[in-house]
This record gives sequence, structure tokens and C-alpha cells, in this order.
Amino acid sequence: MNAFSSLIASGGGLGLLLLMVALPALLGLACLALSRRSYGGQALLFFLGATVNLILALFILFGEEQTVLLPWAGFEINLALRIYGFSRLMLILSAVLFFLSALYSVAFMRRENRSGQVFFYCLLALAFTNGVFLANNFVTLLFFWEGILAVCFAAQLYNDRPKVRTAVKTLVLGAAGDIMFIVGVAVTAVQSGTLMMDVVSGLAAEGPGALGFIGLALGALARACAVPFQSWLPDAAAEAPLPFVVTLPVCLERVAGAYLLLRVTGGFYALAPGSALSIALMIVGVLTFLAGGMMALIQRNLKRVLAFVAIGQAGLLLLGAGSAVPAGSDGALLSLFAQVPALMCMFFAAGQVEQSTGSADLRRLGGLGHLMPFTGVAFVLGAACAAGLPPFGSFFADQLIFSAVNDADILLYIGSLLGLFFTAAALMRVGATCFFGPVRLPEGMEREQVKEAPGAMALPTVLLAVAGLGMGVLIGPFSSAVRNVTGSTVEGWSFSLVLCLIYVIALLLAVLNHITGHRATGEALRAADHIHYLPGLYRVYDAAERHYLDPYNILMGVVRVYSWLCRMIDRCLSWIYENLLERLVDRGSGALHDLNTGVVNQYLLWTLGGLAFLVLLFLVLV
Amino acid sequence: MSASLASLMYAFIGLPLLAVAGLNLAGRRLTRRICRPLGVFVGLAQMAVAVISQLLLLQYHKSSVSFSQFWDMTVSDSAAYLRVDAFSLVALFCIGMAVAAAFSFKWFDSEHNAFNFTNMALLLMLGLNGAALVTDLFSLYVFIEIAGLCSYTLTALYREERGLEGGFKQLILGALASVLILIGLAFIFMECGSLRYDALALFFSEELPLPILDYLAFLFLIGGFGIKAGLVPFHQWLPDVYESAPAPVSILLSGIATQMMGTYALIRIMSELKGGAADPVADAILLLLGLITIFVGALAALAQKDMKRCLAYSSISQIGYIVLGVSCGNAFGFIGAMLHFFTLTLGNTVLFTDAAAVDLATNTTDMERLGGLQKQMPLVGVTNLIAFLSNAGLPPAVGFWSKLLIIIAVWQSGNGFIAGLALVAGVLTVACCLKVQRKVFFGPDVEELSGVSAPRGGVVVSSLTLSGLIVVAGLLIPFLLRMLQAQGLF
Repeated sequence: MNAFSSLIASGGGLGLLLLMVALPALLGLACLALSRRSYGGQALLFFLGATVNLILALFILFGEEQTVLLPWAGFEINLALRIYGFSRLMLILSAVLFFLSALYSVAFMRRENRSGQVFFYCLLALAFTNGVFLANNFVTLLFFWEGILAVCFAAQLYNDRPKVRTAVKTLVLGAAGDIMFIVGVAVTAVQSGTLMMDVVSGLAAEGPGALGFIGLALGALARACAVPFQSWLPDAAAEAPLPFVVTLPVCLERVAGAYLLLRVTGGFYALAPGSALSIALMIVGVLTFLAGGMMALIQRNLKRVLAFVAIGQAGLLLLGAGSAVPAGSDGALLSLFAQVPALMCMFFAAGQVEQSTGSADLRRLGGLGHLMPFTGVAFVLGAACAAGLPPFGSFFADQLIFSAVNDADILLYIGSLLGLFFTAAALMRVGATCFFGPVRLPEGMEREQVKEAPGAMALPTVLLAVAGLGMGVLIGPFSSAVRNVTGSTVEGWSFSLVLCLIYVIALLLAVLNHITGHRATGEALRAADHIHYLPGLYRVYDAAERHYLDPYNILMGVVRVYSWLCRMIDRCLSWIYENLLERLVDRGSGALHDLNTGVVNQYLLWTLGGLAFLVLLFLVLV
Repeated sequence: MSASLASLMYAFIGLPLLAVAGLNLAGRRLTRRICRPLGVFVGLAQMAVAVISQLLLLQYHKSSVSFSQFWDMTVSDSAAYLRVDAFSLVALFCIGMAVAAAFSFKWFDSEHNAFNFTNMALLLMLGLNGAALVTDLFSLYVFIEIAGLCSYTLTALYREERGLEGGFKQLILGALASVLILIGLAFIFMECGSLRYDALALFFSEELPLPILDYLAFLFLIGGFGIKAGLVPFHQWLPDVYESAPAPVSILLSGIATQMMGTYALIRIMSELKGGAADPVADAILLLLGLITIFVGALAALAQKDMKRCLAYSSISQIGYIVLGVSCGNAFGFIGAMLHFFTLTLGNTVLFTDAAAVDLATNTTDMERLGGLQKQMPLVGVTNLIAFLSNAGLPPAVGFWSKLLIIIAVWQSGNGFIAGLALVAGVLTVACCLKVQRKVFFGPDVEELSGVSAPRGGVVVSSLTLSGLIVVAGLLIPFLLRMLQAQGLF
């Protein structure tokens, strides 16, 4: 390891950093080039990419800090890469998760079509995400940032079951966020007078700086699938190939979004705790957390439930980062480490369920824990971690975040507790429906046909499930290690017992809610019906289910109004050009034509009139 | 050097004079054959002499050459009657070009008419050449009158009703113009005591503000030359004349005669007098007249049903641009006006030659009776389009550059709004172009014209050559501008 560190220091760093970006992309292209028949070759290349990436990330983790600069377009636009504490942490997190995802995907895609394309998209997304973590120049960052969106769009458009509408939705929402991001980058560059990211630090988030902050933050929200950029994820989760969903929006995009968010709130800009921007960010966080939990509660598709839970979890990151206090930022980072493995684990379990039973419709599924015990246990563990149950890692992370939120505003704290309640209730409902109770299978499906997932799929699922638990058990050493790498100054744990108690009560209420709901309706799936059909709330749910609250539809509505306005303006202009001007020209030229009578007397009169006009003009001018 | 260069200049007087004398001295049998070749030769020879003279001027780094009587070549500038500079060489080149184009095809059935046409056209050429060479206002007036008389006669050459009517209108309006010009000259002479360009420039540079009599003189001159040039509201006679005159006469009149008698004289007077002062009142009047002329000409062109009338109105609009350039009173304006003079001569010659080709093939220029001729006469259609687009100011034709210079000049003189209007008016010219092209060449086929055969010979050659020149001049514009710059024009 020391030898490698010295290699990096002696100039090998350039090659290593470029390799982090170039190698996954090249291997992805090779996957694409291989035909479906050579699935073994594709899988090998994909797995090789993930493994080498993990090894390189490990080298970087234990290597020294390094900065490389390749001149590119001039005007300070360079290919600038940098390894330092935070980026190292993000690189290793994404590399480990990607490796586990690759292990699962190789087994999963054996039975699916277009495996080469899916592997290609995943590796390309990995390359771009690595680029985001390494970028040290805003233009370089923009390049990789947009690359992720492009892959996300292409992956949904060109696959086995292309869904144009969802792909376009992804692109429109992502692009809306990215336009803000570009504005943010431009303002930040102007404010700081440089494009180099390591130089920009502690800018005031006021005046024009506020615009830069908001732009960058909105860009991060778009990648992390927070409100108002979230609505494509449930559709994509239900429709797109599972390895893509897990690798891109759940894992890589989330980590990239959180990375940028934490750098914006705690690095580029000095966000003051309790400031308007901080509160605004936290309001968006609470809304995201609430919306995700509430929508997850009423879904009937397993993967859509998980997608909404994932959206809700992005809210937690926002709450932590937006609080602008060290406890909140640390909480957000730890929450990222806990929630992404938990979400991946649940998605993996959902993938196994869907592949075994051929359905992800909760109305047709039940008691699968008897048939797929490993999957069932992994799902439950993952759900417990995502819900923030003690002693999982997310419990501790949530305590940090909740205490920071409580310090900021009591209403936000209550909102967060509600979000927690809904998320826990939703996860309980889906877990109980799917894995407990009597066995229920889609029509025509026999118990014997449903098999436990193969080892290669079960192993990463179980590993991810255990990760959350392990993190919780070892939260002390783990958080110190993370703080060592990030350089955070917070020492020890400082959350109050009262808040902790309130948190646990909220979770217990969720359990109680489920039990009473289950007893009342006799069905786990309908355990939340009393919330769903609550007077007043029912209308909100109805509007949400009809997609009236979908930000994409609202945006499209605005676009339609705008296009209608443009059409009207265009028609007015057309009328002016085609009717008014034409008539004017016609009348004018007709009149001039009629004036030419061919009579010389009149010509003379005209001439004399013209002379008189000249004299008049002369008198006026002189 | 000066003597050899000056001796070359006598060709501009000598060529048409000798040609007229030779034509009338030659026997009747010979005359019949040599009319057209003689006209073409004289025209081409004049073009060649103009080009050689320009090259010699460049060679000897001179901006002008003065000369007087044949026996006294080395006369001083202040005593010379005649002078050649870059602008007059451009004008002389254009005269040669229009004359060559007018003689390039066989039009007249009767020998008598052909003979008369040749005589009058060569005399017209003499008058125009003289106007380009003189160095005082009175001589300018005299030569313009010579040319004017020839042009009235040429219009009425057939001695049939329409031609006579056209010639009569031209005569009446021309006479009025002569009176106005003479009064203007008298006023100037009263004030200044001389009509020589150099004396006037000196006088006007010292006399500021101008005496009221000089302003009146300006008014009369603008009115007089405005009638000759066809500026709105003095333009009514012009379309009638162009329409009623025989095709070769239309080419001569539209291509060069009206230009020389009106616009050239205006540019020359204003540029010579501007040697001293820039008078804002005269400039403002010219600016307004120019703008009105541009719009009225272009709008009226759109309503015409006869191809030649439409072209006539369109050329009135272009004359407005030249006046606009002159009114700016800056170097860009004069160069732009001069270039547009060249553009318009070139464009109008091609357009009226094409109209002659259409007339030759179909016996009509009524656009209601024409259509789909592009198939029968593709070359004529294409050359017509090139010339029109050049007049409308589209790149890479030479018209683009001349209009651009004029608009820049107007902008520089602080009239940004008027520059914008002038730019927009280009759209009307394009509309006019589209109308002619659609009605005559691209429109639906007309059954009666299905048997029409494509014109051949001189008319096509002349039209093709000149439209080629439009494009080549447009492409070589940096070279041409640098040449003018070397001669100290701006």
C-alpha cells in the first residue's frame, strides 16, 4: 500500500484518477460490443469493472491527497481532478455498493434480455459518478454531472421495454434541475472569481450568492430525487430493469446528490443555521420526507412503495444538510451510509420476489417468507434499517438529524416525526403483506414454482441487510472513522434522551397503527386504509393518485400554457404579416398605381407639388 | 506619362464621334451590316479604355488626370476643361457596358430604324461621356441636355402613338428640369462668379453659413436633377417611358441614361461641393427624398402588371438608395452611392435585357399573359434572378456591398432609424423580385407559350456575361474597395 501511495505521489496519480473514470466507461463499451450469446463474457467484464473499481477506490482511500490538472479549453477550464477526504469516502462507498450491485445484477440479468446494454449503462454511470467525486473544476463537474443524467435518460429509452414517457419525464425533471445547477455554477464562479472547486470556500449565501447557492442546491436535489424532482422515480422503478434502478437512482445518483449537497451547504457556501435559506432547504426536506412516506403508504406495487420510501429518505439528507450545523451534516452523511444499503437491499429482495413469482403487485403476493426465507429476512432487516429502528445505523443517524431539526424549528421537527411515522407504517405494511401471513401467489402460480434466490443474488442482499445492523452496533468506531476521513470536528454523541424517546414513540405508534389497521380490515395490505380514507386526506391522496400533484405534470401544464401563449403571439404576428401587412402593401401599391394616370398634365402638377414640398421642407429646416 | 494617359482619354470623346461620322459616311449597303457590330465595338472599346485608364492611374499613383484641347495636353488642373477620376471611369465603364448590351441583339426589323437608333444611341453616349468628363456645372448641363435630346428621340423612334407619347412626356418634364437646373446654376453663378467645380468647392468651404440664394440654388438643382433621376414625387414619367420605348432604348435609358443625367450629376455635384462644407439642410432634404423614393418605388412596383413597368418602379426604389448615400455627406456614403450606381447600371441592364429576351420570344411583357418560362429560357430566368437579388442587396452579389455601405453610412450619420427602414425596404424589393420570377418564369405554364423557343445569341450572351460580372464584382469587392482607397476616395 505504501508503494502505491508513493506511486500516486510521484505522478502515477494522474493515471489512477483517469483510470477511475476511463476504465468503467471502456469496459462498459466492451459489454455493449459483445453479443447476447456471450453472456458470460459480458458478465465477466461487468464484474471485472466493479472489482477493479473497488480495488482502485481502496488504493485511493489509503493513498495520499492528490491534485492533477490537464489543460483543456483555456480560460481556466481544465480537466482538474482531486483526491481528498470527502471524495475518498464517497468513492469507496459507491465502489462497495456498486460491487455488491454488480454481484446481484450478474445473477439477475442471466434471465433477462439486453444484458449488455444494462451493464453498459451501469458502468458508464459509475464512470461519470467517479468523475463527479474527483472533479476539481466546475466545468469538469458539469460534464460528469450531465453525463449521469444522459445515461439515466438513455437507459430508460433504449432497453428491453422502452418507456418513452418515463424517459422524457426523467430528462425534463433532471434537465430542469440541471439548468438551475448551471446557473448556480455560473454565479458561484463569478462570485468567487475562479472555476477551481478547491479554492471556492465559505461564500456568503446572500444577495447574488443566494442565487448561486439555490442553483447548486437544486441541482443536488434533482440528482438525489427530492421534491420537486422526484416523480419519475416511482414510474422508473416499476418499469425499468432492476439493476438499472438500483445502480443509478438508488445508489449512484443518491450518493452523488448527497455529496454535492454537503459540499454546497458546508463547503462552497457558509450557510448560517436558522437563516432563511437553511429553513427553506429543511422545509423541502420535510416535504420530501412526508410526501415519500405518505405516498408509500398507499401504493399497491412493491417497487413503487420502495421508490417512494427512497424519495422520503432523500428528505432526511436534506434535513440534515440544510440544518447547517455539524450534527446535522454528520447525521446526513451517516444517514447516507445507512439508507442506501437498506434501500438497495429491499430493492434486491423485491427483484427476487418479482423474478420468482412474476409479479410485484402486492394484491397478488403474500406469505412469501415461508417460501423465500433468506429474502424475507433480508427485506425485513433492510426495512427496519430504512425505518430507523434501533439498533440499526440509521437510528443513530436519525437522532443527529432530528436533534438538529428540533433546534431549528419545532414545526419542522413535528413534520419529520410524521414523515418517520408514515415511512415506518408503509414499510411495515409492505413487509407484512409480502412476507407474512398466508401464502398468496399470482394466478396460475404454484408454491413449488417459487424458489429462493440463487446464492449470487442472496449473498449481496443479505450482506447489505447486515451492513445496516453492523453499522448500528459499531456506530462509535464507524462514525469516528468517517469523521477522520471527512475531517469533521464533532466529538461524541450529543442527542437528548427526550428526543430519542419521542422518536421511539413515533415508531411504536406506527406499529400500533399497523396492528389496529390490520385487525380492523383483516388484511395487512389495507392496514393503512383508515389513513388513506381519512376525511380531507383522502382528497389529497386522490389528487396525488391522479397525478395532479406531480411536479412534472404541473411543469408540463406551465409549458402548455406557455406554448399556447407563444402560439397566440405567433398567430397574431402571422395575422399581421399575412393579412395586415399584405393588405397595407396591397392598398398602398394599388393607390400608387392608380396615381399614375398617364396624363402629362397631372405629372406636371405632381412635379410642381413636389417642388412646393421641397420649398416647404426647406423653410421648415432652415 | 501624363500626356500618354491624357491622349488615351480622348478616346471617350473620339470613339462615339468617329463612330457616328463613320456610320453616316459609309455607303448604304455597308451601313446595313455594321450598325450592331459598330455599337457593340464602341461599347466594348469604351469599357476596355476605362479599365486600362484605371489601371494606368493606379500604376502612376494618381487619383485623376486633367486634360483640355487636343493640342494642349499638358494643361494645368485649374485651366483644364476635362478630367478623369475613379468615379468618372466607373461611369464611363458603365456607359460602355449599357451601349454594348443595347446593341448586343437584333431588335429593329427596318434598316431605317436600326440606322437611326445607332446614330442617336452613339450621340447619347457622347453626351453621357461628356457629362462624366467635364469639370464645370454648365458643361455638365450642356452634355446632359445633349443626352436628354437624344433620349427623347430614341423613345419616339418608332413614331407610333405610345412611343411618341412617352417621348413627349419625357420632353415636357425634361424641359421643366432644364429650366430648374438653369435657374439653380444662375443663382450659384451670381453668388460665386464661377461654375467650375474647384472654384465652387473653395467658395462653399469659406461661405458658412450659406447665403439664402445658394440654398435656393440647391433646391432648384435637387428638383431639376430629381426629375431627371426619377426621384419621387418627380418620377411619374419614368415608367411610362421605359414601358413605351423599344427594348434596346429601355436598356439604354434604364441602364445608364437616367442614371447619368440624374444620379451621377447629383453625386458629382454634392461630392464636389462637399470638398468644402457639409450642409445639413440639403442633406436632410435629400435624406427624406431618398427614403420616400425607396418606399414608393418598391410599393408601386408590387402593383404593376407589366414586367418593364415593374422593373422601372423597382429601379426608382434603388435610385432612392443612391440619394440616401449621397445625403450622408461622409466618405462611406459617397463610396456606397458610387458602388450602388455601378450595381444599378449592371442590374438594370441585365433586367431590361432579360425583359427584351422575353419580349423577343413571346411578343409581350404583360405578366398576366406570361408564366412558366423557366423551362423554355432557363438562362434568362437565372440571370434575371441574380440581377434582382443583387438589386435587393443579397450576398454575394455586388448589390449587397453597396447597400451595406450606404446603410452603414446612414447609421454613422446618426440616422439609425432611417438605416433600419432602408434595410426593411429591401424586403419589398425581394417581394417584387419574387413576383416577377413567379409570374414570368416559375408560375404555371401558359398554353399559348408552349411553343416558345429559347432566345439565343447576343441577348443571352450579354445577359449571362453581365450577371456573371455581378457575382464576380461581389466576390472581388475587397479588391475593388482597396483600389478606390488607394486613389484617395476614402
